[in-house]
This record gives sequence, C-alpha cells and structure tokens, in this order.
Amino acid sequence: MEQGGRLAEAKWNAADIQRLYRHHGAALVAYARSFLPDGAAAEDAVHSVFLRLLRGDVAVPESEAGYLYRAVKNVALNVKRDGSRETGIDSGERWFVHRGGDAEAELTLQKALSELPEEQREVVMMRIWSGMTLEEIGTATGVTLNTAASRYRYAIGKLRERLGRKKDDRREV
Amino acid sequence: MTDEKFESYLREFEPKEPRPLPVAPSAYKKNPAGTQWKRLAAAAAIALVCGSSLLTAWRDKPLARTRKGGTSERLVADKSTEARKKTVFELTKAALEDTAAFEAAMEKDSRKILPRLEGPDSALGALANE
Repeated sequence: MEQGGRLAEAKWNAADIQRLYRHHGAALVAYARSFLPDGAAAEDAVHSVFLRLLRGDVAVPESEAGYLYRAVKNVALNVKRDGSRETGIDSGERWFVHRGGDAEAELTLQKALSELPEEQREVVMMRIWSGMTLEEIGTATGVTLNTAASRYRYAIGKLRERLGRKKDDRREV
Repeated sequence: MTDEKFESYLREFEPKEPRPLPVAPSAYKKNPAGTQWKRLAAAAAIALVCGSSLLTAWRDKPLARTRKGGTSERLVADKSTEARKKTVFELTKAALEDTAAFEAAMEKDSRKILPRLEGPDSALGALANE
C-alpha cells in the first residue's frame, strides 16, 4: 500500500494535477456546491484541495478521484461548520447547465441532488459527472462493489422520480 | 425510461465550468535538487554582478593608481582626504564659534592660495610681461 502510494507520488506533477482539475473540477465544484450555499465557496473549497496537491503536501492515493471527492467533502463540511456559511440550497444560483436550456430542470436536479443522502449523492456524482465505474467508486469510497451499486440504484431512483415527475407535469401542461 | 436513458438524460446536465486553477506555488517539492540548482545559479549571478561592479568602481578610482616610485597614491590620497576632512571640520567649527575670526583667517589664507594680482611679482604682472 505504502509502496503503491510512493509510486503514485513519484508520478504526481503539476501537469497531472491540471489534468485532474480539467476532468473532475466541474463535477467536484458541483459536489461541493451541494454542501455549500454559493458557487464561490464551492470553488474555493475545490481550489484549496488542488492547491494543496500542487504544493506537494499530499501523497497521491491509489484512487485519485476518490481522494479528491473525500477531500472536497471535508473542506466543504469544515467551511459549512465554521458557521459563516449556511446551507441555502434554494438560492437561484445554477451549478448545473442543461444542454437544452431547461432552466427549471436544472433547479430541480440541484434540489434533488442536495436532498440525497451524502453517500448516495457522492456515488451518483462520481458515476455520472466524473465517469467512474462502480468498482472504482467502491474502491474510492471504501465500500464493496455491491454497496456502491446499491447506493447508486437508490440515488438514480430518487432522481428519476423527481425529474421524471417534473417532465410529466410539463407534458400535461 | 430505462436506466441507460435516464443516465444519458442526466449527462445532459453539465456542471458549470469553474474558474481556472490559480497559478500555484508550483511543485516546489517535486524537484528540490533542480530548484536548489536554480537558486544557487541565481545567487552566483548576483555575486558575479556585484563583484564585477565593485572591481570596476575600484579600478576607475584615480587614487588607486600606483606611482612610478612604487608608492601607492591611494595611501597619499587617503591621508589628504583625512586631512581635508579634518580641515573642513575645523573650519566649520571655527565658523560657528567665532565668525569674525573665521573671516579673518579665510582672508589671510586666500592671500596665500589665490594668485596675486597687484605688485611686480603678481600673476597679472607676469602675464603682462609675456
């Protein structure tokens, strides 16, 4: 394990970190946003994690994305805990953009995501917006593949219920 | 809607692009040897520039030239500079303490230092003879 960590640390460089940021940055900000009331705070939380990596303060773990999600969550929770920022999910700020421009669906998705239990939200965000496999998610979150799959299924079910209902409502109108 | 279709639908929502990562105090610890080498090179360059400037300044000083006889003018110059400093100090002190006496002394000295312009041995007389 330690050896693996060392090997990973050896290939850790600024270019890799930038690549990780390009690949996961947006999803991580959305994830942080699900804990924090504003986008700027969410970006700050994600940036602080990446800056720590750039300073070389952190050895790269086996699952880079898993580490990033955990670290972002910790920072976001710390920020939230310090009392200066209260969770305000209903603020009109968008953290998702729908390709088709469905602004209402954007807000519904945001609300639905923020209402999911943390572990389900984490799994669905890793899967959908970070492109991780359920196996990778299991490793990253320290649970079995079955648990990860089960959390994902629950999360998708709830999201489908919320977003699908919204869609149906609009069709009826 | 099947799971795959719903997943595709969810992917239609894209997380907002965050602002770029600030330029960081980049990988200082990634290549400490390289960084140290650069620092040493920079320090050496600064030392070289300072050294050469000092050397140039020292060479350009006329007082540093050596006389034919081998004695350094620097020593003579140092002495005369010291004497000048002393004189200036004494003169300032005298001017402040007793203005009348200072003026009298200055007038007396000026006769010795400045060329004489009257009488047969004066500078003007010598020039007129030529």
